[in-house]
Amino acid sequence: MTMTKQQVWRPWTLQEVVSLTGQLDGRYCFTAGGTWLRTQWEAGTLEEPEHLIAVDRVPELQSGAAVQENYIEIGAFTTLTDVLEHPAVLAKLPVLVEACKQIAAPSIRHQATIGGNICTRTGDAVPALLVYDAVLLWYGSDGLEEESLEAWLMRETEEERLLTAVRIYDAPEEVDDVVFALKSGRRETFIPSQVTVAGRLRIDPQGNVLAAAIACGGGSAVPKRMPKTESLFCRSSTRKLFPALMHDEIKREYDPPSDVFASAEYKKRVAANLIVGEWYRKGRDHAVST
Amino acid sequence: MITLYLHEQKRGNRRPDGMKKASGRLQYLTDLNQEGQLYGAVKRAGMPHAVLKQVDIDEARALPGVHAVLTAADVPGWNGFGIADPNQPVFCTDHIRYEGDAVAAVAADSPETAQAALNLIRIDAEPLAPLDSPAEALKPGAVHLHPEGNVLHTTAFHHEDLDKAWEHCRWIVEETYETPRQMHGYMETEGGLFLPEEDGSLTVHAPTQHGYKDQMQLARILGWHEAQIRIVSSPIGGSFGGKDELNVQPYGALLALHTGRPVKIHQSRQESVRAGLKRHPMQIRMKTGLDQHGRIAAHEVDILSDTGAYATLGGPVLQFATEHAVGAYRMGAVRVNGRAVYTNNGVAGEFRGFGGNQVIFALEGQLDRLADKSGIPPWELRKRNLRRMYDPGPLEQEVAPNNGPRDVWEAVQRSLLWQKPKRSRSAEEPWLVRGIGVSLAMHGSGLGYGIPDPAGGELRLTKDGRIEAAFGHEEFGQGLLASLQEMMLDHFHCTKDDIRLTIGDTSLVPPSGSSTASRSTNMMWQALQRMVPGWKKQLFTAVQQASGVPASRMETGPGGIFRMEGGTQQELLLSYQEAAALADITEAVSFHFPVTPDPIIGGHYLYGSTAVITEVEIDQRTGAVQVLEAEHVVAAGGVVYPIGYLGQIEGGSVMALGFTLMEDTVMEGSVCRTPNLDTYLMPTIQDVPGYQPVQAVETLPPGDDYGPRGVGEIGSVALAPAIAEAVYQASGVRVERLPIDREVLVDETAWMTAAEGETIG
Repeated sequence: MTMTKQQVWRPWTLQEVVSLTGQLDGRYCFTAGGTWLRTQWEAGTLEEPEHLIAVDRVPELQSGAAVQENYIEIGAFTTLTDVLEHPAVLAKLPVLVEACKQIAAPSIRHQATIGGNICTRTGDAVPALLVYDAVLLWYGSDGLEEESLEAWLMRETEEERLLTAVRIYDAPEEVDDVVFALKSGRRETFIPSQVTVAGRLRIDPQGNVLAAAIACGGGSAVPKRMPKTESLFCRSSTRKLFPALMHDEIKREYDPPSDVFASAEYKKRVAANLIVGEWYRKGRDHAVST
Repeated sequence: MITLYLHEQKRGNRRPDGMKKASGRLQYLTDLNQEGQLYGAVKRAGMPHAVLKQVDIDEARALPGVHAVLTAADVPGWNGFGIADPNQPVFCTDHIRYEGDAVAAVAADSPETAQAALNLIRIDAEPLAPLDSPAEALKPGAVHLHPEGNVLHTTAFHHEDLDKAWEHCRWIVEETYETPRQMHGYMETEGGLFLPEEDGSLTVHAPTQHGYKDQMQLARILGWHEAQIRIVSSPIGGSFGGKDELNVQPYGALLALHTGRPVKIHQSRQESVRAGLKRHPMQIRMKTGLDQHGRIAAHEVDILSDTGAYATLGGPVLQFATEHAVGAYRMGAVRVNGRAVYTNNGVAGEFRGFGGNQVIFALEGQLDRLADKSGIPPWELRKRNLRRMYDPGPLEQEVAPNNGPRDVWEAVQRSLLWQKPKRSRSAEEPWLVRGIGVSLAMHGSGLGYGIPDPAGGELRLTKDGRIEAAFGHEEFGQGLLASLQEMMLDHFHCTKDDIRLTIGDTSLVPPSGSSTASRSTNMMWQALQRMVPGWKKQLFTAVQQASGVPASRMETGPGGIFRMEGGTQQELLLSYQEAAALADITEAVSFHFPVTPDPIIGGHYLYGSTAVITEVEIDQRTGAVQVLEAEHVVAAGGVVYPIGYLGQIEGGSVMALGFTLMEDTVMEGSVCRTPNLDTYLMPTIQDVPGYQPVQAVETLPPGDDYGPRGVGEIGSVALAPAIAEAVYQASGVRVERLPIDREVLVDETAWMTAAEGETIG
């Protein structure tokens, strides 16, 4: 028989998870919402594993967000819909809210989790989390570990640990002066991203940029922060925009691959346009108010 | 939101199949199951071009739960199908011509076992270089895909001396246009249930646009008489031309007969994408010249159509494109040459618009470019060249007097949308630019001269007292039942409960020809015109004998036959059920779709006309085009069923929007790279205009008694060039290729320059 039977495991504790993964020796896959796994299986781009470990019964992996003294923690199992409805997220993390709104369609967001989106490495929530300097909480054979999202994205090793939560220490007391998360795909909605950008700017009343965090991603590109662009922003003022200069810097720094539907050059230009467009908006507001 | 503007307020009954469809309760044919059924599956080649040496089915056959594995050796009749030329093998024997070619079929206890059996079938084949474009297939020495070579069909139309005509041209535009491999994208993929009956016959429950044609084709494959096969073919979950040709029926039929058990087949979306029909991608070169008065003096057209691996209706589609490359305009000299070329790129076939959409995009593009070059406003330029009521048709053939193009032209003049500024840039978001474009087209109804286009129907009074209309037409969502219901109510002044509509089953209906080419509404209308008087005469004569009231003083009404006096309804004479007991009241008719008397192959006699105005907004940050509004004017005779009319135009428009902005089956080396709906993109609700008003011009020329023309296709034919012109107005970029490539519309210089002047300094 060539038919494969798939076994689904639903462990109760993290210890059970660890012992299972040891037993199954790489022939398993963790699943949360399962939306992206199913898509890949159907497209034939990922083989269905013999064993599926559904970790929804493990108490440490519950969904929801919690506000602590110096951070906000979002459980890896929180669905995108729940992320979008959580008061703390809505109040403190507007870039993440904007990003999550643009992921897939409502029915998918009801099932898909923030942890799953992160684990794809190219999810649309990732640029938004990058500009908040998000930290990932992993559970592996060495117990719980913290690792910055940015550092994790740069490593290319196969991940065997279980993502339990994402923490944001840098949740701003007050809302930033410029926040954005923009996505461009081949149609208006329910569409894989070609270019996703996210950003936060802190600007003083005179228009001087005090702090900047910018990230780009989209398609198969692993999102990344844009330090050179950020540094250019930090030397800028809304009194004088220099949009072309900004545009060139972004195109120099962002280096996405081409694919069947869009060239690398197109993606660079779109990323630059989207970011500079937000900068223009702020400059215009400044001009109007002064 | 959509609105239909009519000259008079019309009644609109709820469509008979509406509630069941909206609530999801309707059982489609692919929802049917039968106890003891087996599951059929087709082994597809999975490679685009190869010499097939052997198909090894031994292991598959030995798999427990497998009841049959069939190959070419198991086809008792003709191993091929195709409406025009049956050159698509049921099972390949020696030559694999596209990825979706069938080499074997399996029937098993479960879908999983059937799939497992497919995986055990080994195809021994020697790959050949794919002929992945018409240019490749036309190269000398290219492998012949069929005995006659790689050219399926050619067309040539000449009128007057073109070479001389260029001398009179003051402005000439030459351009090559390209259109995509659009997919029908119906919600219900191909499938069906196949039942071997105790009397040795076969019942097929499978969607098609022409039940009797399927019966004929299946009989040819099985080596049977047509009468041994019953085709139940409606309701259908969408077709748009895509289910006109046979798809899974040969496999279901062969497997059911071989196993003696019911067999169900239902294709996955991916199999549907790889194996199913697509719209012909066309490369259209046009060279068009205007004289100093702005008249089209010369028009030269070359059409190169990628017809894929097999014939199906690739020839007639090219024929249609040839005629519509001239369209609604009168021209000095014309030369149109077309070639439909076989390639390994899937199979292209029948699709809503039937070759018109491609050439209308090109033709209207020429008019807009010439307008630019000559300085004559685009809409004025069209007026100068439009046909008049009694002019001959595009192929110089005699046509029914037709003023549709001028009627829709006039209607556009009154449009508020058309009076808006042609371009603008947003002050707040300088990357947003808007533009307005308009286009015009004429679209033939019926199959055209030289193609059998029969029609017919039957009217009966059933024993349970219903007036039954029986037609061999199909309901695939276009609203045929609703239109038929409206026409019946108009003729008989009765209630909905007094009528019965019977379609989609060869055991119950007469042949009526196909439900294609915007013909069904018109054919039913004409059939009823012919049948109703005779049928009523039979009925009233029978009632006269029973009641003594003269037949001339009777009319049908709610529940039965009434005595009339001075045009008003008096007492009920007999109920329909009582009348049915008196005699067998049946009237049948068969006739041919109205056709031009001139022997010009493919030339039409009846046409609908349309104009589309659209406003688009381009985001110059990304090149995304959003269609803000699309206003359609349609001249196709009287509106039979307002909601259905609106639905056809709106649906056709959305389909055309997909054709223009995003839909394309991308092939690389003749391998499909968009096998599912996450890569093959269709418009979502957020991609379509919020507002699509439709203005119906219902007047027909005096003496025109051909009735309402169908509107199944016309909403889809003219949007693309209107969008392309609106894009040009907004951005200054001319588009020759569809779907529109966003990369050509990204323009940071334009928006940043506009922004600069305003904020800095």
